[in-house]
Amino acid sequence: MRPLSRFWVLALSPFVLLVLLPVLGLFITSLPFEPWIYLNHDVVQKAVLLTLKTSLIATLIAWGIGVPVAYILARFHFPGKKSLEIVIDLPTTMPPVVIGLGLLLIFGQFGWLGQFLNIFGLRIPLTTTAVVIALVFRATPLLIRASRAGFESIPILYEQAASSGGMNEWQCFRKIMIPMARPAWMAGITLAFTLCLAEFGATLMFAGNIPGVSQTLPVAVMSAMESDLPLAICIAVVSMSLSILSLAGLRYVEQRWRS
Amino acid sequence: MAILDLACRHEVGPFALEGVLKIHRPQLIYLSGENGCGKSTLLKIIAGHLHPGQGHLRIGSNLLLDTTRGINIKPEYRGVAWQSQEDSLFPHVSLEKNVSWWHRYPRGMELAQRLETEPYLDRLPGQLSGGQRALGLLARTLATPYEVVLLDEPLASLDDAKHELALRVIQSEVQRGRTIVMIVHHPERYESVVTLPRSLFKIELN
Repeated sequence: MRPLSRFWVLALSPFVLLVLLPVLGLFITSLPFEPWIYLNHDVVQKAVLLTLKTSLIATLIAWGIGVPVAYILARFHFPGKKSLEIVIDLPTTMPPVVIGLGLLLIFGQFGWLGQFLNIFGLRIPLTTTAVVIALVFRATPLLIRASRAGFESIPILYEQAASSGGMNEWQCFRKIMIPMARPAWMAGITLAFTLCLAEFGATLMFAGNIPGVSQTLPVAVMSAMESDLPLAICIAVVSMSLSILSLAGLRYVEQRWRS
Repeated sequence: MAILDLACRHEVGPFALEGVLKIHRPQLIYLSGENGCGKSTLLKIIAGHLHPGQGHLRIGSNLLLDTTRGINIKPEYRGVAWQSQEDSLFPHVSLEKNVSWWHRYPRGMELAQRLETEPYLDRLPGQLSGGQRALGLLARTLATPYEVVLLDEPLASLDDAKHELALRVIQSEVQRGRTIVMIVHHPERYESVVTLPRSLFKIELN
């Protein structure tokens, strides 16, 4: 790597401006509204707590589901692998609202799963569980993609060596593959968690807009826009700050773990 | 009953590794042969990392491979220790956890001591020199409880003094009743080297 020359700074600046403008704009225009007075607002606090809680749980679940799938894709060939790869990428290419609608149709009162769960008195749509399910749906593909690249970069040699020492496939996966691919899946966790903080379409469609139950920060912004613009701007600032802080914090952990 | 009884035919491009290998009593076998004659391939077939087109393999009374009957025991259940030509120390854990397999085979610590690597036990493999890594890897392979041990050029990166040391430790393992097949690159340095020919091989060792 070499120091950036003036020529390339020129090429970099449009992109930086493009990203920074809305962020700065939001912060600056929010100042006259004194957004900090809203920080104690019940709606804001509930939305922050709910967003953090559901994003954390969803990211952990996505890790648990995604890492084994990533390993399978990196190491095995089997019939239908190509189709599975398309299925895995679907949630990242589909409009989130469509995913939310799909989930609603399956888990809804008359959906296949919804009818089944109804027998046990369980209702998923319009609950916090629905938020988590929607987030897991959106986040898992990101974890799979990031982790898969990590597993693929590990030479097969280590698994061979482990098996010749009597370690079975599970022990090898847990003690060698997961720790060795840690930088990769940690990058996936960063992507997944920050996506969860920002998720809107699938959450609103499937979980609704109930304060304290399913009203996450992005949903609260939209909700407040209809009646109280200063409140909406305050929630937006909080939401954006949370994303920036999480990104910085997780990147820091990534760096620490790499070295 | 032979300790190891292998017959195989494995095609690699235009070249076929084909023949019979029988070992009747515990011993140290130096295996040599020109580049590309299939030494490493042979060890991988025995260890179970390569499936030959045709063949059968018995170790003691255990049938590990029989292509006619579709039997192919996984490497972890073969009871064969195998060490690759490349450095395969697990880079994310200390040398101590490497040689003892996460404290599963405590003998690794004793072997590390005899191979003079115990001052580095708390280090990660990336913090060791090439020679130290080679000795650590050897300690890890020998720490396994298996009677048959396959070593693919384990001494290549060692200087003369460490080479002697490692060789003494390997030889003493044979006294414990182990059978060790070791690929060597300079056959003139060892006694009674077995050469793997390019053609059909038939090796029977008493």
